[in-house]
Amino acid sequence: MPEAPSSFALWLERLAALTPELLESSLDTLYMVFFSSFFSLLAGFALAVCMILTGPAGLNPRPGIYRVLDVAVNLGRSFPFIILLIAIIPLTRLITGTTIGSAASIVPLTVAAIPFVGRLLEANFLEVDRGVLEAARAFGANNAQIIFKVILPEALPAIVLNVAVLAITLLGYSAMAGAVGGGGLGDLAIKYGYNRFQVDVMIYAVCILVLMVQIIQSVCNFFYKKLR
Amino acid sequence: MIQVENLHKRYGERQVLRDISLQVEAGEIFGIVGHSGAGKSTLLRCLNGLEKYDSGTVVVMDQEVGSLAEKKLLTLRRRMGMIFQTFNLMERRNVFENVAFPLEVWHTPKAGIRDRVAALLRLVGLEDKAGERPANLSGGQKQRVGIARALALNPEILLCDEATSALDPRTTLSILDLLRDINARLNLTIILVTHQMEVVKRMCRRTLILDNGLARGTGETAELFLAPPPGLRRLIHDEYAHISQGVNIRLGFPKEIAREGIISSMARSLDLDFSIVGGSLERYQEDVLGFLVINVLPEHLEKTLDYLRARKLRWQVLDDGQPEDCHA
Ligand SMILES: Nc1ncnc2c1ncn2[C@@H]1O[C@H](COP(=O)(O)OP(=O)(O)OP(=O)(O)O)[C@@H](O)[C@H]1O
Ligand SMILES: [Mg+2]
Repeated sequence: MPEAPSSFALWLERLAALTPELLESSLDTLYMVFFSSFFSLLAGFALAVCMILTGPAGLNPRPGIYRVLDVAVNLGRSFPFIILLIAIIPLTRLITGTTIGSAASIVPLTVAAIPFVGRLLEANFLEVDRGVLEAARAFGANNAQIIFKVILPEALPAIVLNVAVLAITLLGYSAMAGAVGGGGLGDLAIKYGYNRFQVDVMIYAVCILVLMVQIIQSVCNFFYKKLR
Repeated sequence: MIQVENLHKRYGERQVLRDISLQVEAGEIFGIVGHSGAGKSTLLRCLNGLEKYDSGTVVVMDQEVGSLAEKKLLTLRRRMGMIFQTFNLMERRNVFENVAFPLEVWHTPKAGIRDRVAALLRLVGLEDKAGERPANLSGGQKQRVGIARALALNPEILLCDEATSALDPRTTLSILDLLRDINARLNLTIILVTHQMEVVKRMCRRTLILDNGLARGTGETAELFLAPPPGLRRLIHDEYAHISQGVNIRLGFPKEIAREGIISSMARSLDLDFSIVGGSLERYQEDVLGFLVINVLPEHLEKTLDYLRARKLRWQVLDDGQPEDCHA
Protein backbone atom coordinates (compact mmCIF):
# COMPACT_ATOMS: atom_id res chain seq x y z
CA MET A 1 0.00 0.00 0.00
CA PRO A 2 1.53 3.31 -1.08
CA GLU A 3 2.42 5.78 1.59
CA ALA A 4 0.18 8.87 1.81
CA PRO A 5 2.07 11.79 0.26
CA SER A 6 3.53 14.23 2.78
CA SER A 7 2.04 17.69 2.98
CA PHE A 8 5.28 19.09 1.60
CA ALA A 9 5.08 16.89 -1.46
CA LEU A 10 1.47 17.95 -1.94
CA TRP A 11 2.40 21.60 -1.70
CA LEU A 12 5.20 21.12 -4.22
CA GLU A 13 2.86 19.39 -6.61
CA ARG A 14 0.30 22.18 -6.31
CA LEU A 15 2.98 24.85 -6.88
CA ALA A 16 4.21 23.02 -9.96
CA ALA A 17 0.70 22.97 -11.32
CA LEU A 18 0.27 26.69 -10.70
CA THR A 19 3.68 27.74 -12.02
CA PRO A 20 2.80 28.17 -15.70
CA GLU A 21 -0.08 30.42 -14.86
CA LEU A 22 1.90 32.42 -12.30
CA LEU A 23 4.70 32.82 -14.79
CA GLU A 24 2.40 33.95 -17.56
CA SER A 25 0.67 36.45 -15.31
CA SER A 26 4.02 37.77 -14.11
CA LEU A 27 5.15 38.31 -17.67
CA ASP A 28 1.86 40.04 -18.44
CA THR A 29 2.40 42.36 -15.50
CA LEU A 30 5.96 43.14 -16.51
CA TYR A 31 4.81 43.78 -20.04
CA MET A 32 2.15 46.24 -18.88
CA VAL A 33 4.47 48.01 -16.47
CA PHE A 34 7.31 48.22 -18.95
CA PHE A 35 5.37 49.66 -21.83
CA SER A 36 3.19 51.99 -19.79
CA SER A 37 6.33 53.29 -18.04
CA PHE A 38 8.05 53.72 -21.37
CA PHE A 39 5.23 55.58 -23.11
CA SER A 40 4.36 57.71 -20.10
CA LEU A 41 8.02 58.66 -19.70
CA LEU A 42 8.16 59.81 -23.32
CA ALA A 43 4.98 61.84 -23.11
CA GLY A 44 5.68 63.01 -19.56
CA PHE A 45 9.13 64.18 -20.62
CA ALA A 46 7.64 66.29 -23.39
CA LEU A 47 5.12 67.68 -20.92
CA ALA A 48 7.81 68.49 -18.35
CA VAL A 49 9.93 70.21 -20.99
CA CYS A 50 6.95 72.37 -21.96
CA MET A 51 6.43 73.23 -18.32
CA ILE A 52 10.02 74.28 -17.60
CA LEU A 53 10.10 76.29 -20.81
CA THR A 54 6.90 78.17 -20.09
CA GLY A 55 7.07 78.17 -16.28
CA PRO A 56 7.48 81.31 -14.14
CA ALA A 57 11.27 80.94 -13.84
CA GLY A 58 11.49 79.16 -17.19
CA LEU A 59 13.70 79.62 -20.21
CA ASN A 60 10.89 81.24 -22.15
CA PRO A 61 8.13 82.18 -19.70
CA ARG A 62 4.58 82.03 -21.06
CA PRO A 63 2.31 82.37 -18.02
CA GLY A 64 -0.87 81.61 -19.97
CA ILE A 65 0.36 78.32 -21.43
CA TYR A 66 1.89 77.27 -18.13
CA ARG A 67 -1.38 77.91 -16.29
CA VAL A 68 -3.23 75.62 -18.71
CA LEU A 69 -0.62 72.83 -18.41
CA ASP A 70 -0.50 73.19 -14.65
CA VAL A 71 -4.27 72.86 -14.25
CA ALA A 72 -4.41 69.98 -16.72
CA VAL A 73 -1.73 68.08 -14.80
CA ASN A 74 -3.51 68.62 -11.50
CA LEU A 75 -6.79 67.49 -13.03
CA GLY A 76 -5.21 64.39 -14.52
CA ARG A 77 -3.60 63.49 -11.23
CA SER A 78 -6.75 63.94 -9.19
CA PHE A 79 -8.78 61.62 -11.45
CA PRO A 80 -9.33 58.25 -9.66
CA PHE A 81 -7.64 55.56 -11.74
CA ILE A 82 -10.52 53.13 -11.65
CA ILE A 83 -12.83 55.78 -13.15
CA LEU A 84 -10.27 56.77 -15.75
CA LEU A 85 -9.97 53.14 -16.69
CA ILE A 86 -13.64 53.01 -17.59
CA ALA A 87 -13.90 56.53 -18.97
CA ILE A 88 -11.29 56.01 -21.65
CA ILE A 89 -12.57 52.68 -22.90
CA PRO A 90 -13.40 54.19 -26.30
CA LEU A 91 -9.84 55.45 -26.65
CA THR A 92 -8.47 52.08 -25.60
CA ARG A 93 -10.60 50.32 -28.20
CA LEU A 94 -9.52 52.81 -30.84
CA ILE A 95 -5.84 52.18 -30.18
CA THR A 96 -5.69 48.46 -29.41
CA GLY A 97 -8.90 47.17 -30.97
CA THR A 98 -9.95 45.53 -27.69
CA THR A 99 -10.64 46.46 -24.09
CA ILE A 100 -9.48 43.34 -22.27
CA GLY A 101 -6.06 41.82 -21.83
CA SER A 102 -2.76 43.30 -20.87
CA ALA A 103 -2.15 45.14 -24.17
CA ALA A 104 -5.40 47.02 -23.66
CA SER A 105 -4.40 47.92 -20.08
CA ILE A 106 -1.35 49.77 -21.31
CA VAL A 107 -3.52 52.59 -22.64
CA PRO A 108 -5.23 53.66 -19.38
CA LEU A 109 -2.04 53.01 -17.41
CA THR A 110 -0.10 55.31 -19.71
CA VAL A 111 -2.76 58.00 -19.73
CA ALA A 112 -2.98 57.97 -15.95
CA ALA A 113 0.80 58.15 -15.55
CA ILE A 114 1.55 61.01 -17.97
CA PRO A 115 0.57 63.91 -15.65
CA PHE A 116 2.29 62.10 -12.78
CA VAL A 117 5.53 61.76 -14.75
CA GLY A 118 5.20 65.34 -15.99
CA ARG A 119 5.12 66.62 -12.44
CA LEU A 120 7.96 64.39 -11.21
CA LEU A 121 10.24 65.37 -14.07
CA GLU A 122 9.35 69.04 -13.79
CA ALA A 123 10.45 68.90 -10.15
CA ASN A 124 13.68 67.13 -11.16
CA PHE A 125 14.40 69.74 -13.81
CA LEU A 126 13.73 72.60 -11.43
CA GLU A 127 16.24 71.09 -9.00
CA VAL A 128 19.09 71.72 -11.44
CA ASP A 129 21.19 74.61 -10.12
CA ARG A 130 20.08 77.87 -11.72
CA GLY A 131 23.66 79.10 -11.76
CA VAL A 132 24.63 76.25 -14.07
CA LEU A 133 21.84 77.21 -16.48
CA GLU A 134 22.98 80.80 -16.29
CA ALA A 135 26.52 79.75 -17.18
CA ALA A 136 25.25 77.78 -20.18
CA ARG A 137 23.26 80.80 -21.35
CA ALA A 138 26.30 83.02 -20.89
CA PHE A 139 28.25 80.86 -23.36
CA GLY A 140 25.57 81.24 -25.98
CA ALA A 141 23.74 77.93 -25.58
CA ASN A 142 20.21 77.97 -26.99
CA ASN A 143 17.20 76.54 -25.19
CA ALA A 144 17.40 73.12 -26.86
CA GLN A 145 21.06 72.80 -25.87
CA ILE A 146 20.31 73.89 -22.34
CA ILE A 147 17.61 71.23 -22.02
CA PHE A 148 19.47 68.35 -23.64
CA LYS A 149 23.06 69.15 -22.70
CA VAL A 150 22.57 70.66 -19.26
CA ILE A 151 19.22 70.09 -17.58
CA LEU A 152 18.61 66.50 -18.68
CA PRO A 153 22.12 65.15 -17.94
CA GLU A 154 22.35 67.00 -14.63
CA ALA A 155 18.92 65.76 -13.53
CA LEU A 156 19.46 62.20 -14.74
CA PRO A 157 20.29 60.51 -11.41
CA ALA A 158 17.23 62.04 -9.76
CA ILE A 159 15.14 61.02 -12.76
CA VAL A 160 16.29 57.42 -12.40
CA LEU A 161 14.99 57.37 -8.83
CA ASN A 162 11.69 58.70 -10.05
CA VAL A 163 11.54 55.97 -12.70
CA ALA A 164 11.45 53.55 -9.78
CA VAL A 165 8.61 55.52 -8.19
CA LEU A 166 6.78 55.47 -11.52
CA ALA A 167 7.28 51.76 -12.25
CA ILE A 168 6.22 50.77 -8.74
CA THR A 169 3.15 52.97 -8.89
CA LEU A 170 2.25 51.45 -12.24
CA LEU A 171 2.77 47.98 -10.79
CA GLY A 172 0.08 48.78 -8.24
CA TYR A 173 -2.20 50.29 -10.87
CA SER A 174 -1.69 47.30 -13.16
CA ALA A 175 -3.09 45.05 -10.44
CA MET A 176 -6.11 47.33 -10.39
CA ALA A 177 -6.40 47.19 -14.16
CA GLY A 178 -6.32 43.42 -13.75
CA ALA A 179 -9.49 43.65 -11.70
CA VAL A 180 -11.42 44.74 -14.78
CA GLY A 181 -10.00 42.05 -17.03
CA GLY A 182 -6.59 43.49 -17.73
CA GLY A 183 -4.62 40.32 -17.14
CA GLY A 184 -1.50 40.03 -15.05
CA LEU A 185 -0.95 39.14 -11.42
CA GLY A 186 -3.80 41.31 -10.14
CA ASP A 187 -6.21 39.55 -12.46
CA LEU A 188 -4.91 36.15 -11.32
CA ALA A 189 -5.16 37.02 -7.64
CA ILE A 190 -8.74 38.13 -7.99
CA LYS A 191 -9.85 35.31 -10.28
CA TYR A 192 -8.54 32.53 -8.01
CA GLY A 193 -8.08 34.07 -4.62
CA TYR A 194 -11.23 36.11 -4.43
CA ASN A 195 -13.70 34.40 -6.75
CA ARG A 196 -12.68 30.79 -6.13
CA PHE A 197 -11.35 31.02 -2.59
CA GLN A 198 -7.92 29.66 -3.55
CA VAL A 199 -6.11 31.83 -1.06
CA ASP A 200 -2.69 30.34 -1.84
CA VAL A 201 -2.79 31.71 -5.38
CA MET A 202 -3.48 35.16 -4.05
CA ILE A 203 -0.55 34.84 -1.65
CA TYR A 204 1.80 33.76 -4.43
CA ALA A 205 0.69 36.64 -6.62
CA VAL A 206 1.26 39.14 -3.81
CA CYS A 207 4.68 37.62 -3.05
CA ILE A 208 5.70 38.03 -6.67
CA LEU A 209 4.53 41.66 -6.64
CA VAL A 210 6.56 42.33 -3.50
CA LEU A 211 9.59 40.77 -5.14
CA MET A 212 9.13 42.87 -8.25
CA VAL A 213 8.96 46.06 -6.21
CA GLN A 214 12.20 45.12 -4.47
CA ILE A 215 13.94 44.37 -7.75
CA ILE A 216 12.78 47.55 -9.48
CA GLN A 217 13.91 49.67 -6.56
CA SER A 218 17.29 47.93 -6.30
CA VAL A 219 18.00 48.23 -10.00
CA CYS A 220 17.16 51.93 -9.99
CA ASN A 221 19.23 52.53 -6.87
CA PHE A 222 22.13 50.80 -8.55
CA PHE A 223 21.92 53.05 -11.60
CA TYR A 224 21.42 56.10 -9.41
CA LYS A 225 24.69 55.41 -7.62
CA LYS A 226 26.43 54.68 -10.84
CA LEU A 227 25.24 57.85 -12.55
CA ARG A 228 25.76 60.27 -9.72
CA MET B 1 34.77 98.10 -26.22
CA ILE B 2 31.76 98.69 -23.98
CA GLN B 3 29.67 101.84 -23.73
CA VAL B 4 26.77 102.03 -21.32
CA GLU B 5 24.62 105.13 -21.31
CA ASN B 6 21.83 106.15 -18.94
CA LEU B 7 20.93 102.59 -18.09
CA HIS B 8 17.79 102.07 -16.00
CA LYS B 9 16.46 98.78 -14.73
CA ARG B 10 13.65 97.93 -12.35
CA TYR B 11 12.29 94.73 -10.86
CA GLY B 12 8.62 95.47 -10.33
CA GLU B 13 8.51 98.50 -8.05
CA ARG B 14 12.17 98.30 -7.16
CA GLN B 15 14.59 100.47 -9.12
CA VAL B 16 17.76 98.36 -9.25
CA LEU B 17 19.87 100.46 -11.64
CA ARG B 18 19.52 104.21 -11.98
CA ASP B 19 21.05 106.15 -14.80
CA ILE B 20 24.28 104.18 -15.05
CA SER B 21 26.86 105.23 -17.63
CA LEU B 22 30.29 103.75 -18.15
CA GLN B 23 32.95 103.19 -20.78
CA VAL B 24 35.34 100.29 -20.91
CA GLU B 25 38.36 100.38 -23.17
CA ALA B 26 39.73 97.36 -25.00
CA GLY B 27 42.32 95.49 -22.96
CA GLU B 28 41.68 97.12 -19.59
CA ILE B 29 40.56 95.61 -16.31
CA PHE B 30 37.54 97.60 -15.22
CA GLY B 31 36.11 97.31 -11.71
CA ILE B 32 32.52 97.53 -10.52
CA VAL B 33 32.42 97.63 -6.76
CA GLY B 34 29.63 98.02 -4.22
CA HIS B 35 27.95 96.43 -1.26
CA SER B 36 25.60 93.48 -1.44
CA GLY B 37 22.39 94.31 -3.28
CA ALA B 38 23.88 97.36 -4.99
CA GLY B 39 22.97 95.99 -8.40
CA LYS B 40 26.41 94.85 -9.55
CA SER B 41 25.35 91.46 -10.86
CA THR B 42 22.33 92.99 -12.56
CA LEU B 43 24.54 95.54 -14.32
CA LEU B 44 26.97 92.83 -15.41
CA ARG B 45 24.14 90.65 -16.72
CA CYS B 46 22.84 93.55 -18.79
CA LEU B 47 26.18 93.57 -20.63
CA ASN B 48 25.70 90.11 -22.12
CA GLY B 49 21.94 90.32 -22.37
CA LEU B 50 21.15 87.79 -19.64
CA GLU B 51 19.03 90.59 -18.22
CA LYS B 52 16.78 93.02 -20.07
CA TYR B 53 16.84 96.70 -19.20
CA ASP B 54 14.14 99.34 -19.25
CA SER B 55 15.90 102.28 -20.86
CA GLY B 56 19.31 103.50 -21.89
CA THR B 57 21.78 101.85 -24.22
CA VAL B 58 24.35 99.11 -23.77
CA VAL B 59 26.75 98.91 -26.68
CA VAL B 60 29.19 96.00 -26.61
CA MET B 61 31.65 95.60 -29.46
CA ASP B 62 29.57 97.98 -31.57
CA GLN B 63 26.29 96.14 -31.02
CA GLU B 64 23.36 97.43 -29.00
CA VAL B 65 22.62 94.48 -26.70
CA GLY B 66 19.00 95.33 -25.94
CA SER B 67 17.94 95.43 -29.58
CA LEU B 68 19.72 92.27 -30.78
CA ALA B 69 17.68 89.38 -32.14
CA GLU B 70 18.12 86.06 -30.31
CA LYS B 71 20.60 84.59 -32.84
CA LYS B 72 22.77 87.70 -32.85
CA LEU B 73 22.69 87.81 -29.07
CA LEU B 74 23.96 84.23 -28.81
CA THR B 75 26.78 85.07 -31.21
CA LEU B 76 27.68 88.11 -29.13
CA ARG B 77 27.78 85.96 -25.99
CA ARG B 78 30.16 83.65 -27.76
CA ARG B 79 32.62 86.55 -27.75
CA MET B 80 32.15 87.18 -24.01
CA GLY B 81 33.25 84.71 -21.35
CA MET B 82 31.82 84.75 -17.84
CA ILE B 83 32.89 83.41 -14.44
CA PHE B 84 30.86 83.23 -11.27
CA GLN B 85 31.11 83.37 -7.50
CA THR B 86 29.65 79.88 -7.17
CA PHE B 87 31.66 78.56 -10.15
CA ASN B 88 28.50 77.04 -11.72
CA LEU B 89 30.19 73.92 -13.02
CA MET B 90 28.19 70.89 -14.08
CA GLU B 91 28.50 68.32 -11.33
CA ARG B 92 28.07 65.34 -13.62
CA ARG B 93 30.74 66.40 -16.07
CA ASN B 94 34.40 66.09 -15.25
CA VAL B 95 36.85 68.96 -15.58
CA PHE B 96 37.61 68.22 -19.22
CA GLU B 97 33.95 67.99 -20.16
CA ASN B 98 33.09 71.19 -18.30
CA VAL B 99 35.73 73.13 -20.15
CA ALA B 100 34.59 71.51 -23.40
CA PHE B 101 30.99 72.65 -22.90
CA PRO B 102 31.13 76.00 -24.73
CA LEU B 103 33.02 74.32 -27.57
CA GLU B 104 30.29 71.69 -27.88
CA VAL B 105 27.67 74.41 -27.91
CA TRP B 106 29.40 75.96 -30.90
CA HIS B 107 29.90 72.64 -32.69
CA THR B 108 33.68 72.38 -32.51
CA PRO B 109 34.96 69.09 -33.98
CA LYS B 110 36.08 66.46 -31.42
CA ALA B 111 39.79 66.68 -32.20
CA GLY B 112 39.68 70.46 -31.97
CA ILE B 113 38.00 70.21 -28.57
CA ARG B 114 40.66 67.84 -27.27
CA ASP B 115 43.54 70.13 -28.20
CA ARG B 116 41.85 73.30 -27.08
CA VAL B 117 40.82 71.91 -23.68
CA ALA B 118 44.32 70.53 -23.09
CA ALA B 119 45.82 73.95 -23.84
CA LEU B 120 43.32 75.69 -21.55
CA LEU B 121 43.95 73.31 -18.67
CA ARG B 122 47.64 73.95 -19.06
CA LEU B 123 47.00 77.69 -19.00
CA VAL B 124 45.17 77.47 -15.65
CA GLY B 125 47.52 74.83 -14.23
CA LEU B 126 45.09 71.90 -14.03
CA GLU B 127 46.52 69.47 -16.59
CA ASP B 128 46.46 66.65 -14.06
CA LYS B 129 42.82 67.16 -13.04
CA ALA B 130 41.13 66.61 -16.41
CA GLY B 131 39.29 63.50 -15.26
CA GLU B 132 38.14 64.79 -11.85
CA ARG B 133 34.58 65.70 -10.98
CA PRO B 134 34.13 69.27 -9.67
CA ALA B 135 33.03 67.84 -6.31
CA ASN B 136 36.60 66.61 -5.78
CA LEU B 137 38.20 70.01 -6.36
CA SER B 138 38.98 72.89 -4.01
CA GLY B 139 37.30 76.26 -4.50
CA GLY B 140 40.35 77.72 -6.17
CA GLN B 141 40.62 74.78 -8.55
CA LYS B 142 36.93 75.05 -9.40
CA GLN B 143 37.39 78.70 -10.27
CA ARG B 144 40.33 77.77 -12.48
CA VAL B 145 38.06 75.37 -14.31
CA GLY B 146 35.53 78.20 -14.57
CA ILE B 147 38.19 80.45 -16.07
CA ALA B 148 39.34 77.79 -18.53
CA ARG B 149 35.73 77.26 -19.60
CA ALA B 150 35.17 81.00 -19.98
CA LEU B 151 38.24 81.27 -22.22
CA ALA B 152 37.35 78.25 -24.35
CA LEU B 153 35.84 80.27 -27.19
CA ASN B 154 38.63 82.87 -27.26
CA PRO B 155 36.41 85.67 -25.98
CA GLU B 156 37.37 89.32 -26.27
CA ILE B 157 35.69 90.23 -22.98
CA LEU B 158 35.64 88.35 -19.68
CA LEU B 159 32.88 89.14 -17.18
CA CYS B 160 33.72 88.20 -13.59
CA ASP B 161 30.89 88.18 -11.05
CA GLU B 162 32.40 88.00 -7.56
CA ALA B 163 34.93 85.52 -8.91
CA THR B 164 36.96 85.46 -5.70
CA SER B 165 34.32 86.10 -3.05
CA ALA B 166 34.02 82.44 -2.08
CA LEU B 167 37.78 81.92 -1.79
CA ASP B 168 40.27 82.37 1.03
CA PRO B 169 42.74 85.30 0.81
CA ARG B 170 45.64 83.31 -0.55
CA THR B 171 43.58 81.55 -3.21
CA THR B 172 42.01 84.89 -4.06
CA LEU B 173 45.45 86.26 -4.83
CA SER B 174 46.38 83.33 -7.02
CA ILE B 175 43.15 83.67 -9.02
CA LEU B 176 43.67 87.43 -9.36
CA ASP B 177 47.23 86.85 -10.57
CA LEU B 178 45.91 84.39 -13.13
CA LEU B 179 43.33 86.90 -14.36
CA ARG B 180 45.96 89.60 -14.63
CA ASP B 181 48.25 87.24 -16.49
CA ILE B 182 45.47 86.36 -18.93
CA ASN B 183 44.63 90.02 -19.36
CA ALA B 184 48.21 90.79 -20.33
CA ARG B 185 48.86 87.71 -22.44
CA LEU B 186 45.62 87.53 -24.38
CA ASN B 187 44.84 91.24 -24.35
CA LEU B 188 41.48 90.32 -22.87
CA THR B 189 39.17 93.04 -21.59
CA ILE B 190 38.04 92.14 -18.07
CA ILE B 191 35.07 93.49 -16.13
CA LEU B 192 35.49 92.65 -12.49
CA VAL B 193 32.46 92.84 -10.22
CA THR B 194 33.17 92.52 -6.52
CA HIS B 195 32.31 93.79 -3.07
CA GLN B 196 35.95 93.41 -2.02
CA MET B 197 37.59 96.83 -2.18
CA GLU B 198 41.07 95.26 -2.05
CA VAL B 199 40.33 93.39 -5.26
CA VAL B 200 39.58 96.46 -7.36
CA LYS B 201 42.48 98.33 -5.82
CA ARG B 202 44.79 95.54 -6.80
CA MET B 203 43.41 94.82 -10.22
CA CYS B 204 41.62 97.74 -11.81
CA ARG B 205 42.98 100.91 -13.26
CA ARG B 206 39.47 102.33 -13.42
CA THR B 207 36.49 101.57 -11.23
CA LEU B 208 32.79 102.32 -10.93
CA ILE B 209 31.39 102.50 -7.42
CA LEU B 210 27.81 101.35 -7.26
CA ASP B 211 25.58 102.08 -4.30
CA ASN B 212 21.93 101.14 -4.18
CA GLY B 213 21.64 101.22 -7.97
CA LEU B 214 23.42 104.55 -8.36
CA ALA B 215 26.87 105.18 -9.79
CA ARG B 216 28.45 107.04 -6.89
CA GLY B 217 31.82 107.57 -8.43
CA THR B 218 33.80 106.51 -11.42
CA GLY B 219 37.36 107.05 -12.53
CA GLU B 220 40.92 106.08 -11.76
CA THR B 221 40.86 103.57 -8.91
CA ALA B 222 43.74 105.10 -7.01
CA GLU B 223 42.16 108.56 -7.17
CA LEU B 224 38.80 107.22 -6.02
CA PHE B 225 40.24 105.50 -3.01
CA LEU B 226 42.93 107.97 -2.01
CA ALA B 227 40.80 111.05 -2.37
CA PRO B 228 37.21 109.95 -2.49
CA PRO B 229 34.59 112.57 -3.34
CA PRO B 230 32.52 113.66 -0.33
CA GLY B 231 29.84 111.20 0.66
CA LEU B 232 31.78 108.25 -0.67
CA ARG B 233 34.11 107.84 2.24
CA ARG B 234 31.80 105.80 4.40
CA LEU B 235 31.23 103.52 1.44
CA ILE B 236 34.91 102.98 0.79
CA HIS B 237 36.63 102.91 4.15
CA ASP B 238 34.58 100.43 6.03
CA GLU B 239 37.65 98.67 7.34
CA TYR B 240 38.50 100.96 10.24
CA ALA B 241 37.05 100.89 13.68
CA HIS B 242 37.54 104.48 14.78
CA ILE B 243 38.20 105.88 18.20
CA SER B 244 35.20 107.97 19.09
CA GLN B 245 37.08 110.67 20.99
CA GLY B 246 39.32 113.10 19.19
CA VAL B 247 39.76 113.28 15.45
CA ASN B 248 40.93 110.42 13.26
CA ILE B 249 43.14 111.27 10.32
CA ARG B 250 44.09 108.83 7.64
CA LEU B 251 47.51 109.39 6.11
CA GLY B 252 48.67 107.79 2.90
CA PHE B 253 52.22 107.57 1.63
CA PRO B 254 54.25 105.73 -0.92
CA LYS B 255 56.08 102.80 0.58
CA GLU B 256 59.48 104.39 0.11
CA ILE B 257 58.77 107.11 2.63
CA ALA B 258 59.89 106.07 6.09
CA ARG B 259 56.71 106.32 8.10
CA GLU B 260 58.33 106.42 11.48
CA GLY B 261 60.44 109.35 10.36
CA ILE B 262 57.47 111.51 9.51
CA ILE B 263 55.40 110.53 12.49
CA SER B 264 58.08 111.03 15.07
CA SER B 265 59.31 114.29 13.55
CA MET B 266 55.72 115.54 13.51
CA ALA B 267 55.34 114.74 17.17
CA ARG B 268 58.58 116.46 17.95
CA SER B 269 58.17 119.60 15.91
CA LEU B 270 54.51 120.15 16.89
CA ASP B 271 55.07 119.12 20.47
CA LEU B 272 51.77 117.30 20.83
CA ASP B 273 50.52 113.83 21.62
CA PHE B 274 48.60 111.60 19.27
CA SER B 275 47.90 107.93 19.12
CA ILE B 276 48.19 105.50 16.27
CA VAL B 277 44.89 103.78 15.56
CA GLY B 278 45.88 101.46 12.78
CA GLY B 279 47.92 101.02 9.69
CA SER B 280 48.00 98.99 6.54
CA LEU B 281 49.70 98.43 3.25
CA GLU B 282 47.46 98.46 0.21
CA ARG B 283 48.30 97.44 -3.25
CA TYR B 284 47.17 99.55 -6.19
CA GLN B 285 47.98 97.53 -9.29
CA GLU B 286 51.76 97.92 -9.50
CA ASP B 287 52.18 100.26 -6.52
CA VAL B 288 52.10 99.56 -2.83
CA LEU B 289 50.88 102.39 -0.63
CA GLY B 290 51.08 102.65 3.14
CA PHE B 291 48.29 104.01 5.31
CA LEU B 292 48.24 105.11 8.90
CA VAL B 293 45.30 106.30 10.94
CA ILE B 294 46.21 108.62 13.78
CA ASN B 295 44.03 110.16 16.45
CA VAL B 296 44.56 113.73 17.67
CA LEU B 297 42.71 116.00 20.07
CA PRO B 298 40.29 118.37 18.32
CA GLU B 299 42.20 121.43 19.52
CA HIS B 300 45.35 120.12 17.82
CA LEU B 301 43.67 119.38 14.51
CA GLU B 302 44.48 122.62 12.68
CA LYS B 303 48.11 122.53 13.71
CA THR B 304 48.42 118.94 12.55
CA LEU B 305 46.75 119.59 9.23
CA ASP B 306 49.00 122.57 8.58
CA TYR B 307 51.96 120.34 9.12
CA LEU B 308 50.60 117.67 6.78
CA ARG B 309 49.78 120.21 4.09
CA ALA B 310 53.33 121.44 4.17
CA ARG B 311 54.66 117.88 3.77
CA LYS B 312 52.44 117.18 0.72
CA LEU B 313 51.14 113.92 2.11
CA ARG B 314 47.80 112.41 1.15
CA TRP B 315 45.48 112.66 4.12
CA GLN B 316 41.85 112.76 5.06
CA VAL B 317 39.84 113.36 8.20
CA LEU B 318 37.69 110.32 8.86
CA ASP B 319 35.38 111.28 11.66
CA ASP B 320 31.70 110.57 11.60
CA GLY B 321 29.41 113.55 11.81
CA GLN B 322 32.21 116.02 11.15
CA PRO B 323 32.35 117.74 7.80
CA GLU B 324 34.61 115.57 5.72
CA ASP B 325 37.81 117.12 4.60
CA CYS B 326 40.60 115.81 2.56
CA HIS B 327 43.68 116.61 0.71
CA ALA B 328 45.35 114.65 -2.02
N1 LIG C 1 15.19 88.33 -10.42
C1 LIG C 1 15.01 89.31 -9.53
N2 LIG C 1 13.78 89.70 -9.18
C2 LIG C 1 13.58 90.70 -8.30
N3 LIG C 1 14.57 91.39 -7.70
C3 LIG C 1 15.83 91.06 -7.98
C4 LIG C 1 16.12 90.01 -8.91
N4 LIG C 1 17.46 89.90 -9.01
C5 LIG C 1 17.97 90.82 -8.19
N5 LIG C 1 17.00 91.53 -7.56
C6 LIG C 1 17.19 92.65 -6.63
O1 LIG C 1 17.97 93.61 -7.27
C7 LIG C 1 18.91 94.18 -6.37
C8 LIG C 1 20.30 94.09 -6.96
O2 LIG C 1 20.67 92.72 -7.08
P1 LIG C 1 22.08 92.27 -7.59
O3 LIG C 1 22.09 90.80 -7.59
O4 LIG C 1 22.39 92.97 -8.86
O5 LIG C 1 23.01 92.83 -6.44
P2 LIG C 1 24.55 92.62 -6.24
O6 LIG C 1 25.14 93.98 -6.16
O7 LIG C 1 25.09 91.71 -7.27
O8 LIG C 1 24.60 91.95 -4.82
P3 LIG C 1 25.54 90.77 -4.28
O9 LIG C 1 26.83 91.39 -3.90
O10 LIG C 1 24.79 90.27 -3.08
O11 LIG C 1 25.67 89.76 -5.36
C9 LIG C 1 18.75 93.43 -5.07
O12 LIG C 1 18.04 94.22 -4.18
C10 LIG C 1 17.95 92.21 -5.41
O13 LIG C 1 17.10 91.87 -4.36
MG1 LIG D 1 25.85 89.70 -7.20
